[in-house]
Amino acid sequence: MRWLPVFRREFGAAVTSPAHLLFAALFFALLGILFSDTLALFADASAGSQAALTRIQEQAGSTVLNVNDYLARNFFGIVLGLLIFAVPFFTMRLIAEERKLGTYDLLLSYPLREIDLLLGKFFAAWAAVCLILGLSVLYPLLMAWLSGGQIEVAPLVAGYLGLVCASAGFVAIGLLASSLTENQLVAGLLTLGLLLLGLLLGNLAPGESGWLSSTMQSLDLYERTEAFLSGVIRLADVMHFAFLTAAAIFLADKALIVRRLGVMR
Amino acid sequence: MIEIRELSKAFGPIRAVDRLSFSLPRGEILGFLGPNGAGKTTTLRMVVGLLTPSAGRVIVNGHDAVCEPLAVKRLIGHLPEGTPLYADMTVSAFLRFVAHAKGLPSRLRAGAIDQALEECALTDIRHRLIRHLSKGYRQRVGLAQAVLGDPPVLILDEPTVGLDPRQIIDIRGLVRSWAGRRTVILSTHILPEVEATCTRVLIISRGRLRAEGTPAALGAQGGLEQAFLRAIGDIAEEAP
Repeated sequence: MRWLPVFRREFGAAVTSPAHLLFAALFFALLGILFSDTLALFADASAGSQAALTRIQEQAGSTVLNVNDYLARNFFGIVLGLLIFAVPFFTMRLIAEERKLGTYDLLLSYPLREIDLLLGKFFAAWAAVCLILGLSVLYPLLMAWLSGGQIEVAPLVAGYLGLVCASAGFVAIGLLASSLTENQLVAGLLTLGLLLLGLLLGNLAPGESGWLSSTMQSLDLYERTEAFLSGVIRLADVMHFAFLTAAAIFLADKALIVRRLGVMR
Repeated sequence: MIEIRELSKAFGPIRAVDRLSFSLPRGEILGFLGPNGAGKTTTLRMVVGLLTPSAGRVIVNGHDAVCEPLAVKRLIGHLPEGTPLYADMTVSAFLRFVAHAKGLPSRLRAGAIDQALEECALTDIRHRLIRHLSKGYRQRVGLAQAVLGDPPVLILDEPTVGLDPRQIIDIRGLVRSWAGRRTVILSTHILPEVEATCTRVLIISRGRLRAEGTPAALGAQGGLEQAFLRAIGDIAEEAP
């Protein structure tokens, strides 16, 4: 538990910093704008608009109007999309800023190992992202209220579990990027690049079969979150994100140790 | 208390520290002198365990800095170069964090923080944000986090850089008060500072040990300034 003081400081800084609060406001503003489109379409279709129903049919491939299948599914998709842009913002400064300001040396002069620092930072940033996810529960509550309680809770729980698992993986990748450079902007852009690449990996796969294609498809972040967001919890998906998280933190630890070995100044 | 044996650090082809050996008994205050770029900070970073040596050993109170980094870090209070601090915290919140990070048991933390605040004369400004403090006060906050928990060894990297004469005198007085009680390495390139505060002096240049002794012995021939220039080899041609 040597990471606990780092976690407490970092989480405290995250929830009180004006930049983060402003960012959370932006996140919810975008979520509101994007979701209200989906909601309006669904409402038109429910009211009998044939054009709206056709569009939903094109998007979801089903003519049955279901709050879970269409509204909740799209809501989770929007949140996941926003996370890909939000996480780099939360993680870019984690290690890079400490190194730039010199406080990294201060932290490591206390009886802490590199991994304690990384775990404290990881859990703090993950908790900050989960806090935003927690606040977004307002939307499913709104859907439940608008649909007069005609919404199933279990798929919503699965969707949130998916978002929590995915954000652990995203935050760990951001932490790794932040460990590689002193430049926050580079760390943030590297994270965004890796996450977007992860999202497109399945589409980039060469052909339908072969080990390379199947590996790329199974690493695809969209592929890995799809089942969660439609309400199915697959152990393989949970393990995928657990492994991704552990691997990224392991590599970040190695990156910091290489720095301590000081091959280059 | 501190023993450095054949310590070397190479960054690619550059040898920043080259087979440096010295030992420092308990309670001594060592002035660690050298021109800019001599390898002072690199050496201190290796003592604290922020950098792994290319060769040689650092032993603090019987613990090896590479094999038992946490045991060594528990013995050391460190003020890094440039006094990095968390500007967005108040003095007391920052010291609470440091006490926790140093692994002090929670029942001892409040007492240790009060002691550090008092020792560095910060009690009156404990609730101020670090970002609002003057440079002199920030330096004292840096010293307070180093002495917090009463470590037997203090490693201070240029603690008086950028301070006004009054603040320098205050910090010198503080360091002098530790003589006999704490083992201190103080890196600096301000010579009068060493004469005023240190019990021993070590001069390095280009990573190598050039001179070692008490300030009085080194300064016997023409003062410490001459000794410094002789040691780093700048007045060789002027000598008769």
